[in-house]
Amino acid sequence: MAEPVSESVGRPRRRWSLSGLSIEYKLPLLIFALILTISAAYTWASYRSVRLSALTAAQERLGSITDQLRGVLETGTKALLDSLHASRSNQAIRRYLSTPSQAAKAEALAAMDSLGPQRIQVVSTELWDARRERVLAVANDSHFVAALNPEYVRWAPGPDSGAVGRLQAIGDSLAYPVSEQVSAGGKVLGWAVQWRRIMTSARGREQTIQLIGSNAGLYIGNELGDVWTDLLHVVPKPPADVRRAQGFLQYDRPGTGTVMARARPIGGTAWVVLIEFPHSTILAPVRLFLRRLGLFMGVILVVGLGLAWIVGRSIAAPLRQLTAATASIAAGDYSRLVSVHRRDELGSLASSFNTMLGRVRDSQHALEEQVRHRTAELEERNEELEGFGYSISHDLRAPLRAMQGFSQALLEDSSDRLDDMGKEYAERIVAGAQRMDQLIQDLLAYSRVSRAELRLVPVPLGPIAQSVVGDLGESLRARGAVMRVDDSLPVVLGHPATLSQVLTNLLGNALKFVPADRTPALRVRAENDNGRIRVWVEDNGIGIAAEHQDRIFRVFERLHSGDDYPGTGIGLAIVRKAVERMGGMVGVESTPGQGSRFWVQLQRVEGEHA
Amino acid sequence: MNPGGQVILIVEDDPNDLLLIQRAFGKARILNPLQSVGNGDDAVAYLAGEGPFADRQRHPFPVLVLLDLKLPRRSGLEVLQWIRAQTGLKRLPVVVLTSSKEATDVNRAYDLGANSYLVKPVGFDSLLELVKSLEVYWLILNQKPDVSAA
Repeated sequence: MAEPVSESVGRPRRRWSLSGLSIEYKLPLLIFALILTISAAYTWASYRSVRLSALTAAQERLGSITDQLRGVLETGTKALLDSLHASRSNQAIRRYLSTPSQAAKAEALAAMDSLGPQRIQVVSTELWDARRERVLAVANDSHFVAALNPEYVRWAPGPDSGAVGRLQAIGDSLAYPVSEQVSAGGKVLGWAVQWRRIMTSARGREQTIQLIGSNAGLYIGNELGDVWTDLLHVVPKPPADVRRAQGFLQYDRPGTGTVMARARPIGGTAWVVLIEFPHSTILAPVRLFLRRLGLFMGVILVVGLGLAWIVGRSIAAPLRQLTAATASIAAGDYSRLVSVHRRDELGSLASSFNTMLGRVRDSQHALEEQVRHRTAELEERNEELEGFGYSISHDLRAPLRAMQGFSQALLEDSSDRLDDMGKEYAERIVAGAQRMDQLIQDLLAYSRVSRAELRLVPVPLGPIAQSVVGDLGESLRARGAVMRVDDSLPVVLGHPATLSQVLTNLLGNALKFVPADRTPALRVRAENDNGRIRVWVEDNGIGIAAEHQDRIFRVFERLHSGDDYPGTGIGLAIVRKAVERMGGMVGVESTPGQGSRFWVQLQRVEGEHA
Repeated sequence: MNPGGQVILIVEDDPNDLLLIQRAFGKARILNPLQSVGNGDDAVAYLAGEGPFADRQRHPFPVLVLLDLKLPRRSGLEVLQWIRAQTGLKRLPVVVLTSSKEATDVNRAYDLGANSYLVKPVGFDSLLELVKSLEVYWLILNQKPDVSAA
């Protein structure tokens, strides 16, 4: 009993079931799962909201930066146009465009030279007539000029507005045309066109990007979307059509990853400014937040796990102690108190347990004391009873011997002085004394069988029955009885002398109650009865009515007068008492007039078969 | 009475029983002289030849003792124990003749050295049979040891 208990507490079995797990492990496991779930859910929700706010903030900033840069660029192009502005009022240029002549040409060339700064940005300065044909050109780089495409020119619509044309990629360089209308008296004379190269220094670009921040990408491209530049080189087109997009775009740029982008047209030009914020930069703080949150959750998880383990241990340890104490109580050791000094429920459980233990121990002692007392009392009674039996056997029988002996002496020694009546009286005294002696002997036998110590041993029934039949031989022969004892009677658990007495009484009884005019037919047999042995003693006697079948086993119970069937009324009481002392039962089945079948149920010896 | 015969000592407190035993000896025609005492102390005194029993002419030393167990003053078992403790008496045949069939009495008597244990029968015929067989066995068949009074 104690073994499996201690095993299940001391060493939890490795099963994939929580029910068999010790609280010491179960509690931390559950708390671990709980914290993990909560922190995962919280982290995910926080991540979503922080990410959303980071993206929204980036969007706002991207919008305003794009608008600001567009304004700056619009102002820049206006300044660019101002340098050509002088051409529309220049007399030499007007003259040459209205009447081109050699003299006017020289003056016009001089005027063109003075137009705008002669810097490396300017590739060529040209004059175009009203039919949009180039009539004069001053080139810095004639080879480069040959590649310029007039289709990229955006013709200024009026005298007060210049126009910036599309970007043209020539090799690794980018050029763009700027035009100004030359008119006189409301009549369009032609256009002054200047081609410029984009020549931004890497440092300038870097500074601009730093001003924008966020590792931004800054691009300028044509409205048509055919040419794009990062202000240093020609770059591939963005993967989305930025011209039509009004709001914010999101796409993957090779080498950068996912970006958030916004494009705005630059007024007065055919250009679009495009700014890209890489997601990696936008979301960097989010990732940092996520990392910190994860670290924090990890710390909580470890601390929670540790606390849960401590709590689980502090619950499991006293429980283990209680279980061990219970097991030792089950094994009969009441001395083991539980030492749990706490002020919580477990502490009060332990102190209740100790109180209960004390009570159980006390009542156990009281009970043992009581049993000892009772046993002593019983032993005393038993001794008294034995003394009583001793007195009976000695003292009560002595007067009987005198009665019988002297009656007989009277009959033998003084018969000549007795008449018939006197002789009959003397005979009746003898018979009475004999009967009383039989009674006393039976009573003593009953008392012996009731209190003698019967040590039960395996007893083979066969030899016992044969010996009893042998002892009864004279009586059996006197009645001419047919006696049948079955072969192979089993071995039972019993006390040999007592078993012998039981069979003697039963057979004597059976023989006695067969009417004088009938040949007694007796039989002893045995059968298996639910793991016990039932021995039957059967006769063909007068039988017993059902209502008397219980009474006959009581002391002094007789159904017939001594004249019909002599007896003391103790024989069957001795049988019942003897069988009960051997752990068995006794009973009878009978049909009046046809016979009785007495049975005795005894314990079987293991391994023996009937 | 045959003064030279072998004396049997009967230790019996019940005069009825004594009378019946004596009658049975008579009926069985056993000629051995019978001596009797009524209590344990007298039995010891008789065997020791003391007090009233000092005269061995009148109270000869017995060849057999019939001993009842339930006796006044000193019980039969105590008498038996005393007999077996005496150097000169320890071989004296003692037959316990009593009314108790109790196993404790039987075992105790044999433990203390009784040569036989007989139960007084109620019927006189049985008593007669018992006395006859007593004579046959103890007085005729049995080879007597040397016994001398202390």
